[in-house]
Amino acid sequence: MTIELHTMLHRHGDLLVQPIDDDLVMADIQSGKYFGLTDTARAIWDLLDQPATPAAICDALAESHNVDRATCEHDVLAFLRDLQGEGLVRAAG
Amino acid sequence: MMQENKLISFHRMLINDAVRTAAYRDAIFATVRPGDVVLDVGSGSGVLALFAAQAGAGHVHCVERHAIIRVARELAEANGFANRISFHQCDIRALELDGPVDLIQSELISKAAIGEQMAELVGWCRDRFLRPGGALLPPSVDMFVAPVELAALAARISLPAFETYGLDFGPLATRNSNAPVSTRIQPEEVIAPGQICYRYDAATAPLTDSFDAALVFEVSEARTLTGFTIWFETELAPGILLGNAPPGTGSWDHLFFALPYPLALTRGDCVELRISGRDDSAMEWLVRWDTRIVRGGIEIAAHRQSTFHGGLPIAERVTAPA
Repeated sequence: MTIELHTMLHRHGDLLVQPIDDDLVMADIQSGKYFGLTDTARAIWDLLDQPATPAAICDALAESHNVDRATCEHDVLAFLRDLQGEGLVRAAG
Repeated sequence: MMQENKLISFHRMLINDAVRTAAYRDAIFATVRPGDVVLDVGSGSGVLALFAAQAGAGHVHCVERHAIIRVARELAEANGFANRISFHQCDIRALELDGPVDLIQSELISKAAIGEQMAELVGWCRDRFLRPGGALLPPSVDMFVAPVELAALAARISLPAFETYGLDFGPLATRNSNAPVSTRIQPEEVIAPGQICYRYDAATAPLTDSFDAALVFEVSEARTLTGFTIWFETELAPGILLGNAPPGTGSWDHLFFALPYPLALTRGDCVELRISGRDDSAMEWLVRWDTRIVRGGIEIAAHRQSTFHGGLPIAERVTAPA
């Protein structure tokens, strides 16, 4: 399922998570991969603490980051689709 | 990379572990047939390759990435096997052989069963070099886990209280209790019989040692749970057993996976353990252990721990989604 602006998303997978300074390092035993989330990537991950849509994430980022809406939506969708590809987020329901 | 002087003392310790060395010699003599071509993976000092030659192998290929392979060559020459053993100092993935082999033998068993990329290294060779119907030694390895009471060690690895130096060691305490400790465990320190949490089958294993087991240990007497230990057992050849169940062997002691603090158990308590892990070149030896203590159907303690939280992730091994 392709993630769109109003797709409700939640974190997926039983990850091991460790904050290192301002970054987040995560290990997925099942896939054997480590992930590092920095800056805006970490902010998006933190916003997925509760199920959220990309649109809602962009609303939140617009308040904290100086970015125009179209660029924000484009970049957030691309990032979330990457996370989906890694099995780290899923569409709710 | 291990310094060469440490390599020598390490391999001397392995050779001097009579339980290990004799079991492997017996198993190799029981497995090798006259004229067999043998591939010895991770040869080290080459002692297992020498055994294969003694047992009548037509040719033995040693592959080893460390400089210790020079010692293997010297030992082969000293024992008159230089013309039947060839030496390949390289990463296993760079190995090239001119034909299939009849037997792949290795000793890539860590004190906690996995941790030396056994499945990946042996599997890589199996899929490329082993003739159909060829043999693998060891054919399988079982990984056991058991709850243990190690009061003295638990006290020794704990950190100073605030009053000692006026310092809060809290952040280090979290890493400390997630970092396994190498030690020697005695049978009487094991609280409940060990249970299998992983079985490596050399003939069919994928190229990753990976496991996920949910186990329940019933407590038969009042004890203090301080953590868990892991050991291995293998039948190298029919009737030839090897393992490091407590008290271990000369070269294989144990890893102690501590709980954050000791837990007093009473008869009838259940120690629920979910233990999972992985070991390959992509994710070197990562173990997770989630513990839940249940008394009379009620949870009295629960912990989630992992070696990931006992270390500092290395940046270059982290891949960020774009």
